[in-house]
Formats: sequence, structure tokens, C-alpha cells
Amino acid sequence: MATPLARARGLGAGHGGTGHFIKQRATAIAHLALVPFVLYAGAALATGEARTFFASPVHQALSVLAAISIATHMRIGMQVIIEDYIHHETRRWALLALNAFAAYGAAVVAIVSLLALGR
Amino acid sequence: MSIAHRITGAALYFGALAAAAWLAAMASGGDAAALARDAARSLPGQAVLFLATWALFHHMLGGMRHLLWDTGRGYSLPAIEWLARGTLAGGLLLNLLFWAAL
Repeated sequence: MATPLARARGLGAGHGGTGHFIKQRATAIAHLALVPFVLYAGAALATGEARTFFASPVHQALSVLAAISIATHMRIGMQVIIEDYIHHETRRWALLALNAFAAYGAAVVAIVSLLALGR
Repeated sequence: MSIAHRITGAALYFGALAAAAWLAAMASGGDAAALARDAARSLPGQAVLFLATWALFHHMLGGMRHLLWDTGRGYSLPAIEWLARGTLAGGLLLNLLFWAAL
């Protein structure tokens, strides 16, 4: 949805154009369906065994989807917070990078862990 | 209310990092898994989880409010006040219901 002019101008103040707006809404809508599963998983993990819960491929698949969707959503959300409050350019870029690593790194850790638990 | 949406979002961000760490501990087995299990079942752990699920419900209802606004609806002053009250009360109520059902 970026026009040639928008591309040339750097896509607005956040340098991201409409992509983030759409991704945030898309993941939010996905979460409306996934949050009940996440809560169900939380309850099961609290009362039962993690290995039993993650033995099911359906639980594994939904958990992986949740991890990816949540990572995207939380990364964009935190990016907006960083851009709103940090104006020192080097500090901002450092935090934005840390944000991306933390969000996607945590998703990879979670996915690898739950697949290991399910094996 | 919008700052509450931001604050709950930030809290959930760190909650998600903690959840990933918890899963890693469980998958590692041994002492790490025992520590993670005990921490989650401890009283402070349960208190943190209670607040975390509250933040989740509040953030989710707030998010639905934002999605409604995206469609152009709900901008009248009475609507805004009711949506704010609904988010606050609904979040708390859903959390209490969830924990009662556990």
C-alpha cells in the first residue's frame, strides 16, 4: 500500500507506513481467537504436566501460532512506546533493536521449548 | 484508559518474556524445571499470575474498543464513557470469573 512517493519519502513519521497498523489489527483479531486457547493452556499447565499438554500436536500447533502472533503484536506495540518516549536517536535505535531481538528471541525460545516438551 | 491500554500492554510484554523463560526452564528439566514449577505455585507467583491475567483481560477488552473505533463507531461522548467503564469492569469481572473457574 505504499505509493512510489511514500516510498521515496520514507513512509511517514514512523518509517513504516500502513504495514504496522494492519499487522497490529490482524494479530489483535487473531488473538481474540487465540487468547481463550492461551488461557486454557495456562490453566492446564498450572494444574497438570507440561509434557502431557504439549504431547498433542494440536496444542503444539496452536501454541506456535500464538507465539508468532504474540511476538509480532508485542514487538509493534513496544516499538510505538519506544518511538513515543525516546527521542535521543542512538538510544532509540538501540532500544528498537533490543525490542526486536527480545520479542522474536522469546518466541523462538518458547517454540523450541514447547516442541521439546511435546517430544 | 488509553494509558491503561499501554501500561497493560507493556506489562504483558514482560509477562510474555517471563512465560518464554518459564517454558525454557520446564523443557530443561531438573533443577530449573523444579524452580519454575515452585515459583509459579508460590503465593507471590500466584499473585503475579492473577495480575497478569487481569492485565490480559483488560488489554483485550481495550483492544476490542480500539477495533470498534477503527470502524468509525463509538465516538459519541456517552459511548466513550460506557466503553471505558465496560473495559474496566469487564476486565476485573472476567479475571475473577477465570480464577474462580480454575
